[in-house]
Amino acid sequence: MGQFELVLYRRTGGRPGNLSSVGENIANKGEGLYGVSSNELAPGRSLFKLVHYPQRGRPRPADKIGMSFARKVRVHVSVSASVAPAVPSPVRSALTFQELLFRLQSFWAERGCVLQQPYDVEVGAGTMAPETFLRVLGPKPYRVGYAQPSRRPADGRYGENPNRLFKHTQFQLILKPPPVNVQELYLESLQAIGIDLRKHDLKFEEDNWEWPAGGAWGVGWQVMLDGLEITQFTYFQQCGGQDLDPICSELTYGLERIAAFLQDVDSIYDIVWARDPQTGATVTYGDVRLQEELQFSVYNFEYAEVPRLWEHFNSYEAEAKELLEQFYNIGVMDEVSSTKTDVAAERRRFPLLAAYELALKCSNLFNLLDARGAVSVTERVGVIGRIRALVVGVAKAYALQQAA
Amino acid sequence: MADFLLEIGLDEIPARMIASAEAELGKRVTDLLTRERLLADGAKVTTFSTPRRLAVLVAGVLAAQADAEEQLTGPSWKIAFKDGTPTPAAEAFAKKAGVAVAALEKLTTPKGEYVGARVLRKGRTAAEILSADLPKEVLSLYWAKNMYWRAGKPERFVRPLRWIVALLDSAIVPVEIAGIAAGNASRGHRVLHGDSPVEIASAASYAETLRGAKVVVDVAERRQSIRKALDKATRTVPGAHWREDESLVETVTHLTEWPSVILGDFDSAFLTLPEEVLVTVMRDHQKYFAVEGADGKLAPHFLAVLNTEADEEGNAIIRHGNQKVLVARFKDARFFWDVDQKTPLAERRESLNHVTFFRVPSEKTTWSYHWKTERNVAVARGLASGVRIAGIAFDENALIKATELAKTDLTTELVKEFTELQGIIGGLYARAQGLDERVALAIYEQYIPASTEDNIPLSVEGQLLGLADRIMTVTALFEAGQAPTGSKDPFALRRAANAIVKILAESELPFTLCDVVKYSATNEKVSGEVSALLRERLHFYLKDVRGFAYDVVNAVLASGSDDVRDAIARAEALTEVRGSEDFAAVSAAFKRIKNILRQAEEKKFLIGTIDQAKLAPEAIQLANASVFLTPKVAKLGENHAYSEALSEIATLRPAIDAFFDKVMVLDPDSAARGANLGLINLVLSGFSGIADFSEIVTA
Repeated sequence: MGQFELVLYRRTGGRPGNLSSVGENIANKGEGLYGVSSNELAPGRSLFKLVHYPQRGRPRPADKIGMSFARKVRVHVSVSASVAPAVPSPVRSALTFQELLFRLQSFWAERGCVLQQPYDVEVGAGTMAPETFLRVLGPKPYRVGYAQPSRRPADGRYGENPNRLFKHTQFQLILKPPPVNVQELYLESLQAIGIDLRKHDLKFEEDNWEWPAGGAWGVGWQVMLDGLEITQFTYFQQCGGQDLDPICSELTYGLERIAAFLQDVDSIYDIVWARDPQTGATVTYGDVRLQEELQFSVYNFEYAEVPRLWEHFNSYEAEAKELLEQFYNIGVMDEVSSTKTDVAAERRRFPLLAAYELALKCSNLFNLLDARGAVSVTERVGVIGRIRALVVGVAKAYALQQAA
Repeated sequence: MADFLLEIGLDEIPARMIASAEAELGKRVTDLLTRERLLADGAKVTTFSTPRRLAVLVAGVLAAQADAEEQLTGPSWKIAFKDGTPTPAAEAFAKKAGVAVAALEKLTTPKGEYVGARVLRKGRTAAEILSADLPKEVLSLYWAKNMYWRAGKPERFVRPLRWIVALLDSAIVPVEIAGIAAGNASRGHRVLHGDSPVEIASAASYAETLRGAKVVVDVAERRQSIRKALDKATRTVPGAHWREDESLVETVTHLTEWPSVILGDFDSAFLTLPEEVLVTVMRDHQKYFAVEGADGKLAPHFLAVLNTEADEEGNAIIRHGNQKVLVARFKDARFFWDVDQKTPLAERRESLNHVTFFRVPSEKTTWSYHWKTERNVAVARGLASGVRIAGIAFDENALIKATELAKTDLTTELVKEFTELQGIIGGLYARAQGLDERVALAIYEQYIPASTEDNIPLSVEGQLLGLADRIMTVTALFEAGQAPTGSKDPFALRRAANAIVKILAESELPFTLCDVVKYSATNEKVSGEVSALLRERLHFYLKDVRGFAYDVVNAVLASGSDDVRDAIARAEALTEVRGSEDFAAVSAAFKRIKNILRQAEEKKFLIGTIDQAKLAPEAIQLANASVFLTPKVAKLGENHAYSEALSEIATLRPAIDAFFDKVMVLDPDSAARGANLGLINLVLSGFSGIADFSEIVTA
């Protein structure tokens, strides 16, 4: 039962170089048999590792499958004894990265959530997307879920650190107002992605969230699964400096972490992103994203041009400020000619959402400047204050607009 | 008599807040029942808590208050009855009191005669009172951080309230709190029991019923079972034991409803990382217990306390998961360690320009740690000169080097990751980078004592660095107008001052409080304020840390509060003698002397010279005794032989007693009065060098 590992040796004196194609060949044929890596094994000893995850039907004894393949391809095969029983495999039916997202999306869609697409402006966290930041304001109930790529330029590691990313993916969920059984629903969602809670240790440990530049905070927990933080769970209390009524619950699932946990891989880059159901061939997180991590680390730390970033910042800020001023000037400048209805109508159509995008641009530019080490101590507080003025300014105007 | 149970169920309460909330709920319920005369004699109160609930069980609640007779007072008799006939006033009062007019009585009081009515007040039932008053008690619980959750924001609480069980024996007490009606349905363990309600048949069966739903509600029992499980799991490693950590035991006790323990392993290659880093990762970040081998050194194992009870397969999965997380964190730490070594501490001084120490709001300037380091060095040089003069062995170059490098670890990746290890990391890096051991140790020790229970630095260099760093922080922030006020002390300046006092008290350093201030303050106003803070902290240290009686502390500090170790010696001597009868009498006399002198001052009486001709014989005796004793006491005082000095002072008793027996100090004759005042003034000033005895409280 369970997982086993085949290690293919190069035969002494045999031709080097083609074992990984042999291995892949086996993997593509075998039922639930996947090639893992050709690099991480000890050099000179082996070139390819195969792992077997029995899927459907009656599992056959692992070593039998292994040996029969070995005979077929005529290579020396060792069936590693240590792997099979030591860890009852959580991997057995582990979801791919994309399946994980599908499951979470359909789970919450079935519970009445709107599924949104990722917001197409750079943000540091799912909270900053307007689907959270602006929707939580005001009295209107809303339920939404979306996967948000979240950029933190300073966290980039050129793709060399197995646990840290410049851009990670948050599955962000807003339930406004929170249902009384929101925690139970959350636990169900974990079951839905294949986590059998009876075989894990789960704790809700206090962790309060805040985003000072957004005038936003809440209380809640980090959800710990076998010692790993997999979700940030927050009861949002304030946003844009305004008390929320009703409040909402915000669940932020760290997709990379959860996927690495489910698939039991040591590096984010080894996460299986997609698996071809016909051939079993896999595409990893590294295949999809490594290049991006590398290039953006290089850009963020080496190439981003500081004076130009400041220029962008100033120009986005100026536009956002002007927009906000114009919003507040509606009905002020030409008091005599405009009626109340005109003012309300004009306010409703005013592009505050665009002003918010400009504020987000500033926030991302600040993070870039920070990663470049270009923000001195003296400037820092001031710049954060400027961003806060924009973000909170938009939030206040937005609340006014909703009431118009 | 009944048993009363109240359980409130919540989303997981932060572990740090549970113990005090449990106690407070117990007290509030007990106080309510006492106030309302519902608590039977010998009633027993038990409290419980888990992350999801607080509960209190009171065995011995009366079903209802006893009926009580109440005396009501009405209008004056004269108004109520005219010629023995009741007036409308009497009728109205009788109606209001609910009695017949015929039942009204005459009350004779010092103020006159009034109409009285005796009314029987029926006792209210326990259920009635609890229904009415419990909501207020529950919602008044103190929480360090609150939240709103219901629309319209009607109340704030630590987390949303989910259920209430309120039972008198097996009857539900109809109470509603924050929109939740009480019932008899509790909840069990989230995973081991699931979502189905757990019916509590009777108050007394609470704990046992929940045990059936995989919840141990008794905190002491959970704590004990965690300790046992830790012991048991550790026994699988021969010779090993887990590292005692009381506060971590408390935390995990409040994070679990049904605890179990697993032992995990990590690659022993990580043991080359400093123990401080490994333990911080395990304890602070993962809430794991560290394991020591028989040699007392860290062993490659850890213990995790789980909130579940899994089967063998589950435990293997959980162990595997926890191990992976720990190894990833250790790998990070090792990576940071290696990266940090590429830039030695000495090359990091400039980058301290980018680390904020404090932003001055009024001037819109920012003080960086580079700026602070420069000022620290100046203070350290000043302190060093004082130590040098006193002839204490230390390495001044090492001190200055350590002060220059002390804050550079703030720019390292490892400290950014583990901020709680600042200083310690700097010290370890200094050592790894081949700096002098004295430099490394001083950097390592710079932040201790972190609390009043903590030790002071071992090395003189470490003590001096600790003093320089803290006094500089305190004076700089006072200069910036950030002195602590009331309960507000955002920069923990009181704690810094506590550490300064503690270092002076427990080291050999030759500094008074004023000396320390002298080397750091730039203006007189600030130096006065900082000295006042330090004196206030010395008072705290003597009273709360060293446990001297408050009157002893007041007496000692009134005679001098600058030299910390001298104040301690005086307080010890005073504590020793204060019980003796003679000394008590002398103290009382000193108090009297002070009062008389105060009166004299108020009346503008002059203090004259001690003219023997104007003195009574008892006064002359006292003068002689004082003149004889003064140099003796002064000499003993100079030699810090304070107990002997105080014993000598106590021998004044016969002379003082006789003086006050026979002499009227404030003699109507101004010449005699002046001489008397001169005498007592001399006695007071001559013997108040060690302590102001008038502060001593005598029986």
